[in-house]
Amino acid sequence: MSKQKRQQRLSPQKILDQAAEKLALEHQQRLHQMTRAAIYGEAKVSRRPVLALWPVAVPVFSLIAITLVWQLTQQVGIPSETPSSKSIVAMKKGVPNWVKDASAPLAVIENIEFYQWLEKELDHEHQS
Amino acid sequence: MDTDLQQQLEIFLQTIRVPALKFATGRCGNVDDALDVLQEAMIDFVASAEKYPQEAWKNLFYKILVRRITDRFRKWQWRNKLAKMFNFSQYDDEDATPHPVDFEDSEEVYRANELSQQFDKALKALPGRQQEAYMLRQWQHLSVKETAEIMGCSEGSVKTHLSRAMSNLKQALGD
Repeated sequence: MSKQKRQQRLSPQKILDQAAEKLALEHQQRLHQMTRAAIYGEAKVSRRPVLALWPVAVPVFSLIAITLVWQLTQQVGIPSETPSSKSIVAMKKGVPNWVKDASAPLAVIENIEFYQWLEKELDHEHQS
Repeated sequence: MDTDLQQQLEIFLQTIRVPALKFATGRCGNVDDALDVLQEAMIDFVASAEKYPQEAWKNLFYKILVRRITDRFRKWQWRNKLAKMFNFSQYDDEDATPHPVDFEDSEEVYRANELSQQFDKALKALPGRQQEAYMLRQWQHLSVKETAEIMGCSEGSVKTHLSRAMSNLKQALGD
C-alpha cells in the first residue's frame, strides 16, 4: 500500500470518527434513553454511584441524627402518669410544715421522711 | 412543544450525540462522567433550542456542553479537597480507561490500532483549552468565529490554542 493511502486511512479525522462510533456503540442504549429524556421528559438515567453524593449526604444525615437524639432526650423527663385531683388535695392537707416552707432549703425536702410519709398516704388512699 | 420541533430535535440529537460523547469523554477523562454531562447538556439544549434557528443549534449545543464540563470540573475540585481532608482517597479522579487493543491477524490493522491509541493518548495529554480548540475546529469543522463563541474567548485565542495543540500533537506523534 502507498504511503499516501496509509496516511489517509490513519488521519486524525478518521481516528476521532472511529473512536466516536465505538463509544456510541458501547453506550447505544444509554444515549437513546438520554435523547428521549431530554425531548419527551422521560426519567433521567444516571450511572453516578450513590456514594458519590457523600459530601452532601453526610452533613444532612448528621443533622437528622442529632435532631432525633435531641427529641428523644427531651421526652425522657415527661412523667407517664399524673396524680388525680383528689389525691393532690389529700397530699396537700397532710404535707408536713417543713415541706410547705418555701424558705426551707432543698436538702430538707430531699429528706427520707417525706417519702416514707408519701408512701403511707398512697397506701391509705388505695385501701380506702 | 409541538411535534415537528420534537422530531427535528430528535434528529439533531441523534446526529450530534456521537461526536459530542467523544468530545465529552476526552475532556472529562472517563465515559461515565461524560454521559452524565452530556445528558445535562441535552436537557439544557432542548429547553433553549426553540429560541434559535436550526442553523445555530450545533454551536448552541457545544456551547452548553463546554459550560457543563467546566461546571463539573469546578465541583470536582471542591469534592477532591473534601476527600483529601477526610482521607476518602477512593473518590479521587480516576484516569481514563484506555481503549483495548484489537489484536487481529493483519499487521496493518495492528499498526493502525497502535497509531490510533497513540493519537488518543496525545490528544488527552493536551491542556483542556487546546483539546477543546482542536476538537471543535479540526474535527467538528467549526469556524474560528464559532469556536471562539463556544469557548467564550477571542478568535485570536482560538488560533493560539489551536496552533499550540497542533505543535504538541506533532511532537508527541513524531510527525
